[in-house]
Amino acid sequence: MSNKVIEGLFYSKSDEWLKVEDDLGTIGITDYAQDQLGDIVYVEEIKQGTKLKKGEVITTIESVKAVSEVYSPISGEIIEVNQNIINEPSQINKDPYGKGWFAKVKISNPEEIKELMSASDYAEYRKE
Amino acid sequence: MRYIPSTEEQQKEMLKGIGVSSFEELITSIPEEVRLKRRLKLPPALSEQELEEEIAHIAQKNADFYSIKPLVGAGAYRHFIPEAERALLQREEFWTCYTPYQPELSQGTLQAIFEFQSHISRLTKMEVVVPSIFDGASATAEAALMALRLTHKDKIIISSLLHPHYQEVLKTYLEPHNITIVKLPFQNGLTSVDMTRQFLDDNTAAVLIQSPNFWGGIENIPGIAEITHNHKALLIQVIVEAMSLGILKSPGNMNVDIVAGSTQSFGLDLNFGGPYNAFLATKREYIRQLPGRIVGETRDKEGKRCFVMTFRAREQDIRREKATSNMCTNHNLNVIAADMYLSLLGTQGLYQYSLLNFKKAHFLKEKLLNSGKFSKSFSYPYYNEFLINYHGDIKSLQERLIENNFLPPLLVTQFYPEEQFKQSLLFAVTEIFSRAELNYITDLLSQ
Repeated sequence: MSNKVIEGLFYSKSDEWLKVEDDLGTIGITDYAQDQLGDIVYVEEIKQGTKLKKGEVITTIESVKAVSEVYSPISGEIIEVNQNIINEPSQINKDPYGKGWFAKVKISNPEEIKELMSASDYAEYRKE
Repeated sequence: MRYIPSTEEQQKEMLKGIGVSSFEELITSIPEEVRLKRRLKLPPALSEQELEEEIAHIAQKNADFYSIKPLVGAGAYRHFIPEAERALLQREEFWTCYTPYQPELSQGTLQAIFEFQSHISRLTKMEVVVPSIFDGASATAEAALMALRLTHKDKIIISSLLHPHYQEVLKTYLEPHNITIVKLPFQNGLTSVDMTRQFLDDNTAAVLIQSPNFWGGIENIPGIAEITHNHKALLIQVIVEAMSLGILKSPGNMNVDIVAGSTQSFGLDLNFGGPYNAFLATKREYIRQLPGRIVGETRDKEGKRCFVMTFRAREQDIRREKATSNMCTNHNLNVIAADMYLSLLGTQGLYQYSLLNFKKAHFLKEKLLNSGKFSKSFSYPYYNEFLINYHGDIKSLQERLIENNFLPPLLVTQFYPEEQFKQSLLFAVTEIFSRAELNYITDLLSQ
């Protein structure tokens, strides 16, 4: 089992990560999530401009084993989409915290960040 | 069905196992007033020999579509079935209702499904085909659900000349989804293109048109496709009489997005209304939103050609409540029947059969019109079914036909109660009628 975490990011129980730079949030899925899913073969189109509440579905991803939802760890509006993962979904497996990011959002409720886990808490949460 | 008797002792044991003290206690949830409080009124028991004779006697009252030829179609069509298909279908290897999920055990079945998909893909000119959906009506509903998923919109426009039973099934499927269904009126036997244009808006997920329609009419699919796509909606074509695919323009060549079709006409008897089979065909770009799954061709580890189920990840056993469909019935034997039928007929054979249907229907309509007892309901292009008005007593027409072993055409008033259709009859004419029979029928109805 693989479960690499990056210090300074925030983590959700449904295995998404959030990087916060002022009111800009970058969202991706964790190393644990990509490892559990296996080879990701398809990411459904993510629409720029969509306003999401925390916990709403950003997109669905398909691996050779299953189809899963990716939930937004924070409320906000999608202002940028990583087209590279849509064209080449294996990027998510190869580099979940880097090239495999999903979308950037304009955070509408920064209070929600407090509800997310730190790197060490998440590592503990997903410890076998 | 097997009759399994139980002794009093066994009944006690079962009641104990369930945790109730008596049979009465077991059925307390059934209201008193609906219970039968006497024994069934059954005649005295018969010996096996007596029973066989009695049942055979009752069975003789049945008419089947070989002793009585149907002049009615309206969703179920009697066509000729080659004996080779019937013989091959008797092979017990094909006799399973199970979905062949294990490729290592099911290469023959999977290959047959793959062939069926290939036939339908060639006929419809669509890139992807889902085989083995319950029937045409549920395939239509699945197509509508698929369009809703693809467009994230909430309005469906349907033709009022979609088969009335299909409309019912569609309504049932869509009821929990909070969808607006708008019905398009018809004009001169066809769906009104002008009204389609008026009803279309940016909230429209799909326009659903049956062609040939319930009255056999060949719809202006390319015209409707263009205005539908202007609103970023999808065009669904429903095909109830699959035989029409042999000569009519393919949906894929008319820019249709999703095709839902019954394949009853491909090698299936009428079977008292089912089981039938249906397919759903679409463009490759919509493959992730298909209901069910497809069979794909691949290579095994030794590099040999083999077949597997694929695009399974959104099926209900994996995705549960988020599945693209809760479809699970697999009409596999009927898929194989259609595969055999189409393989036996071949491209030329299907073309010729299809043309025969068209020509014979047009031949009969002309003859009936010339008899002076009938007049046109509409001037419209049609395939092997047509609506026509009769100037006489319909009951006597029905009796004459039945006496001569023909099943009368459909009275459409049960579905379309408008005054103008009071004397309208929906005839279906397939290749099973000879020219001599059609002349005979005309004489019979010209009296």
